[in-house]
This record gives sequence, structure tokens and C-alpha cells, in this order.
Amino acid sequence: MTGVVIRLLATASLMLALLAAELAAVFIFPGWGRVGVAVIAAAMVAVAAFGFMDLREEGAPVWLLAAAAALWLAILLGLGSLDPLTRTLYPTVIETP
Amino acid sequence: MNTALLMASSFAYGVGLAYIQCGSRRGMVFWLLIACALGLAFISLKFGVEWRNDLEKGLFPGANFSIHGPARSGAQLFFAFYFFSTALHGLHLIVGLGLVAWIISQARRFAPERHTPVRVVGLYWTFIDIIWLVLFPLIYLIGRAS
Repeated sequence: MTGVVIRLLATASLMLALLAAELAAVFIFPGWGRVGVAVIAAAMVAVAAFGFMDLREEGAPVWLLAAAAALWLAILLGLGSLDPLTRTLYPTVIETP
Repeated sequence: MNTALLMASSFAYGVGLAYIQCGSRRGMVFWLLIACALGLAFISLKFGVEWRNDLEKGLFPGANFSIHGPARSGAQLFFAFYFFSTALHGLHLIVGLGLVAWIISQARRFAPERHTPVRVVGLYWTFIDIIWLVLFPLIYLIGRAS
């Protein structure tokens, strides 16, 4: 029991440290850029999956499925936010044939 | 703050799961109540404070949108994504709260050798956490990063 709580505490602490790094990547070390933020966010997802969802107890097929799920989540949410975050031209120019 | 609350709630749920695996229903109920309280705190901050401030500032996309000038259209698009995605996440969290409340109400049915529902709801609870871990940088950080 104590071992499980210590492991969960370590997971939560690591995630808090990664959250701090994520905020630092934006506000203190802007040179890390968007890629830095994305890499840290991916690391946080991995830590949550392995630490809280006990993914480490499963085999390679489950890891593969979990990675695919995380990838699709990132793609769907990433694509959803791509336009709001990057568009500079309003209204959209539509060329008629 | 919100992100830390969700992380803490996943931690609390994990401890609750460990308690039922050791045979302590009382310990499980205690830690699941803490997980619920942290989830409620997240919802209160998100919708009771943050959304309220945004709505008072006129940031909901529409005719009364308060940002004018060249950035208006872009800002409307961003806030449409912001309100939709946070609402959808909040909806999932409310469903999660209902499931955790159901687990608590059924606590006497679970034992170390029979606690699959506790484990499954725990997976869903952490999944909500993971969605937020992707949403949080997309909404609050990526746009500010260089």
C-alpha cells in the first residue's frame, strides 16, 4: 500500500514539475518555442498514462493502442486549434473559377 | 491551478483504488470523495470564475463580441474553439463526477478480488485528465510561445 502511494506521489510530483517546465517554456525561456511546449505536453500525457492508468503493467499491444489513441487525440485537437492559432487573413479569400 | 487540481484528483483516485485493492472500503470512499471535491473545484473555477469573467468581458463570439479592429475575426474564431472545447471537456468531467459518485454509492459491493468498475472509472477519470493535458497548452500556451 505504502509503495503504491509513494509511486502515485512520485507520478503527481513529476507531472507538477513538467507543468512548471511547460509554463517556463512559454514565460521564462521563450526560445524553447512551441515545439518545446508540445514535447513537454506529450511527456505529461505519457507520465499520466504510465503512472495513473497503470499502462506499465500491460504489454506492447496495449502500449501501441494507447499511443495511437493519444496520437489521434493530439491530431484532432491540434487540427481543431490550428486555424484559430495561425490564421492571419480575414475574411478568407475564396477564388472563384 | 486547474491543471494541478486535475492531477491531484487523479492521484486521489489512484490512492482510492489502492485502498480497495487492500480491502479498505472506507479508505476508498474517503479518497474518491477527495477526487470528487477536486473535480468540483476544477468545474467551479472553470465555469464559475473563468467563464464568468470572459462572458462579462464580452468574449463570447457573436454580435456583442467586445474585441474590435483587425483582430476581431481571429479572436472570435479562437474564442469559439475555447468555449466549445472547454464546454465539451467540462461535460466529460461532469459525467466522470457522476460515475465516481456511483462508485461511492456502490462501495459495499466492491472487494479486493472484485473491483473492476472502480478500475474502469479510474481509467476514465485519468482520461479526462489527459484530454486537459492536451487542451491546456493548445488554449493557453501555444499561442503565447514563439
